[in-house]
Amino acid sequence: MAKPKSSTKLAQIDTLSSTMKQKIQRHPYFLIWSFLALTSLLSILLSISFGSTHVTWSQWTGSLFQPHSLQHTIIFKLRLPRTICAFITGGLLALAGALMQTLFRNPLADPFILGISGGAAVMSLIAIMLGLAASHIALWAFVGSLFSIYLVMVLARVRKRGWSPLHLLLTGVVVATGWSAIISLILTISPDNYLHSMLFWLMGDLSYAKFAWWQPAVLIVSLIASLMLAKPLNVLAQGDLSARSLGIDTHKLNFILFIISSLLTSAAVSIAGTIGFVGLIVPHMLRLMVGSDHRIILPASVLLGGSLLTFADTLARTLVAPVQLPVGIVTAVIGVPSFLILLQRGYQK
Amino acid sequence: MTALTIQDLTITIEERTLVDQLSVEFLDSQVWGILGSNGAGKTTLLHTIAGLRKNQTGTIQLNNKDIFQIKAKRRAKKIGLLRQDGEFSFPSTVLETALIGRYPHQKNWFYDEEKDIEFAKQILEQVGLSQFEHRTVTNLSGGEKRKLMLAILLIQNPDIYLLDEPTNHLDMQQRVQMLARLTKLAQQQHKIVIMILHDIHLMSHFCDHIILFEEQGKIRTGKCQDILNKATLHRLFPIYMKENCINL
Repeated sequence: MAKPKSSTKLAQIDTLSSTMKQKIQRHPYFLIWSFLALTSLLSILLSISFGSTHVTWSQWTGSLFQPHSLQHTIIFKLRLPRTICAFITGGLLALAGALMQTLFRNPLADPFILGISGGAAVMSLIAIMLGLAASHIALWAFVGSLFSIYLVMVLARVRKRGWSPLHLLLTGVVVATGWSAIISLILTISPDNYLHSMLFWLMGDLSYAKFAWWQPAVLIVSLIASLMLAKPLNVLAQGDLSARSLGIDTHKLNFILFIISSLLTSAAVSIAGTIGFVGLIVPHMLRLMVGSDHRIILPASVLLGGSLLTFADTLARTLVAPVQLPVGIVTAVIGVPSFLILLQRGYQK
Repeated sequence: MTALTIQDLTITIEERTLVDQLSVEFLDSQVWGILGSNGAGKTTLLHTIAGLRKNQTGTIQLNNKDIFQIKAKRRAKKIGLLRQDGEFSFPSTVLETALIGRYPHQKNWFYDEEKDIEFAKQILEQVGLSQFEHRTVTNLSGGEKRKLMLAILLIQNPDIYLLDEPTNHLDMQQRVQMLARLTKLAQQQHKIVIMILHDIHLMSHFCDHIILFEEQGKIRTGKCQDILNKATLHRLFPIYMKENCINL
């Protein structure tokens, strides 16, 4: 009797797997979306569950019904807002990176390539030196990054020809160098007691990140706007000349890309400082895994970028708890080897 | 009936006249070859005809309408360009890349319609790339990339095909196949084909009309047999003609 039973079971599994196969073939991105949804959920759950204070599973579930308990405060007042901030910042950076890479037709472009973070850094270091509160520092950083975008935009404009990716890139690199000189100057003349916060800000840190409604709004609006441009972006990715001969106004599209990606970077920098690698690695990883269709890459970047930064922040909070590491160090430690492995595999394919 | 008319076209770049007072009419089913030395201005002329360069004097009309007055996306349905270089920056798949050719025809802002995907697959099969549909473009050979570029243009399916050295990276067999396909396209589907070639043999075999770049923007146009004669070629390409026994 056992034999037919197991063979029926095997047949069932076989039917199930063939139905799965058909489903995957019909929807080639079924696997990637399932993977990204699971990764996002897992990263958020891990971030809420772990921290310098140990919260058991029963305390965790119990805290849902006890609004005045210590666990409730830890989870809902401290960890949840920080987790959301981490996820949004990761999403902002990865989306900005994906757009910048298309703008410069270069898979190695990252959100900080135009010196936007430099302007933000200078203003926030000044705010730290003046002893302002964290929320004020974020505002100053935002103003600094907007000023930097304006500067690049004005300086990169070539008379009669408008903006070209090459001019934007060169101007951005030079402006970034200028900002880094000013940052060094501020660090040199700052009193010692401010240096710690300044260095944390420069390496990217979510400790002082405060959740605000504009943060998800910027991410969602930018994602929708860039998804509406996804098809023209697929064409633009094949080069300026091809795009123009296929009927795309590349000057206009380049400029829109510059504005959206710069604003995304500004938003990310004002939440958590300059967190490296996420904007470079996430879109690149996705391109190696699922190709370069922007209809997939852009939303997938938001989910993977969000997950990566949330996961990195959990590690930053727990690795040497109670001491908290700047999350930028963790993103580099996770990002560099995984990027190199993927790159090797990508080239071998 | 498609007609592309160029009237008194002059193109000057940094005080150097590349094209001086060119007037020519291209009619459907014609295959035109553009011949000239390096840097003569062949690519610039091709880009100007494609509507991608504005700094010139004279007029270019498509069916009696100035090409610069036609909206870019609408113009892309009529005029298509195969660019000279064929490098791809991002690792997209062959099918994804081929589908960009349908962009001027697509109405849906997000999805590709089934008929467009089918058409792209059909063209990929015709150019011999169907087995590479899911391969990454950055892993294709130089010749395969060139065939993919041609496939994009065929998928765009314009009335006027402008090709900048289409046979680059192709072996002799593939070159002849590609040019035969383009000639057939012109004859059977009444398209206009205008291409820059450096091979006089291929040009005399496949093109019925020639645009010949002589010195300092002086350009001669006409039927192949009138333009590609030994005297002219010996004057313009003396070393080549001496070393190769050209039988025209």
